[in-house]
Amino acid sequence: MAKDEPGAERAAPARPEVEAPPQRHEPPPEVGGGVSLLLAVAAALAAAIGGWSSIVQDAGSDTWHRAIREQVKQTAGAVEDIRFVYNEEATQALQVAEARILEEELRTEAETVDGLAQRLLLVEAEAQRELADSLSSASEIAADPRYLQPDGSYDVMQRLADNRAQIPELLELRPDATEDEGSRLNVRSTLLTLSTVPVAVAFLCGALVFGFPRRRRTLVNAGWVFVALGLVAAAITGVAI
Amino acid sequence: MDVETAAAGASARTARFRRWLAVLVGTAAITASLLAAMESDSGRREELAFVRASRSSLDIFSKIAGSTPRTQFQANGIRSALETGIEATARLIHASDADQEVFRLVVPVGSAQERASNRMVGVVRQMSRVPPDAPIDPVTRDLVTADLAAIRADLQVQNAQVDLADRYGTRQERAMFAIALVAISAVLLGLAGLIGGGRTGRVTLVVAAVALLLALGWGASAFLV
Repeated sequence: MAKDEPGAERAAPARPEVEAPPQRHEPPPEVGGGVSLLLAVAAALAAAIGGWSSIVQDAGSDTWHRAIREQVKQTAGAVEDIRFVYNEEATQALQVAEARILEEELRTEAETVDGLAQRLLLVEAEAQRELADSLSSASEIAADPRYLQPDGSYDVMQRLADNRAQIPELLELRPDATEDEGSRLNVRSTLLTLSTVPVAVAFLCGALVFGFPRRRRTLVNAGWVFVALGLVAAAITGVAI
Repeated sequence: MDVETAAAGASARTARFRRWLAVLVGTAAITASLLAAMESDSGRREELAFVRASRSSLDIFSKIAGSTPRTQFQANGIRSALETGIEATARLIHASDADQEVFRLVVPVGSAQERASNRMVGVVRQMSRVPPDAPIDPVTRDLVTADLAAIRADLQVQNAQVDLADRYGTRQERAMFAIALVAISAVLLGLAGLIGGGRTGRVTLVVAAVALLLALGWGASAFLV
């Protein structure tokens, strides 16, 4: 350090050799305004593409989150419908079916006997019929003849389908398709980010002019080519994908 | 070495310094853009894996909740039908100990109950069935018919997605650290440019180059995760 200082040079004025003359104030090579423009455009384009990529990424992220919300909504609706149909409606319908079956069997048995036994069976059968009628009036499945099957059972699947159809918006939800849409947006965002690589190469070309001023024209031209490449790549990604 | 020779040497060093500075600045720009793309892509993949893991968790719990009512309905219905059958059998057993008149009254009731019990089991099975042509939507069908194997498969998917998210998270963190190193390198390059081609400037340039190399190495190591 001491030899760079002026005082040090004055202390040995007779020395014929110096090892390192001052370099700090040597001006940089003149590279022209074209390089500055290239660097500025490259930086601005990279920032613009980066910003665009962020916006697309945010939209993709929101779409993925929407897929989760849709699935929560869809499955919550389905689970509640399933619970209601099997735990409430089908259970009651089964009690009706059981009462009707027992009534039928008691009447069938009553035909094989006579006297007091027959009267007792018919009374029991009538009691079961009353029970079935009372229960069926409060049961959506048992009260609707559309659900009654030939074997005395009820079409629970049809009832479940009818219940699900009451809120058609839930049936129209497609969380898988929404997730795919989010993935498509995110692929676009990644490709946009990659579009900044040619722009960075253009920046490299511009920077190299300072190190290789004799190749200024070639480097600047190459830089503009890379800027155009980055721009085209970003435009194609943004429009076509 | 005379003054002219020394000045010529210094000029050559300055030119070399500028070349290295230019190359490193450009390389830093390219490295930054590549690392930014990698960081961004890893972040997105991590998020997608978390989204899929969340959806698999939802699948697991909704399948448990959606399949239970049908199996409970079937179990309760069959239990109820069997109770009727057991009651019929018990009635017949105890009627045999009673007098003839009571036996004549009780046996037909027991027989009717026994046949009803068998029919009831069939009705419960029929009402619990999910036929292939059932008019329900695919989501409801998946939930109603879910069994332990389906839930286990979802659990495996969920665990795999969490592992994947963990992997991409690590990759993203490495890319972020590499970007930080590029930023440090860029600052040092700017400083070297300001200082000039003297000894201090050259040392700063070397440190910047080392930081850039570290950034490249650290960024590349993310692919080993």
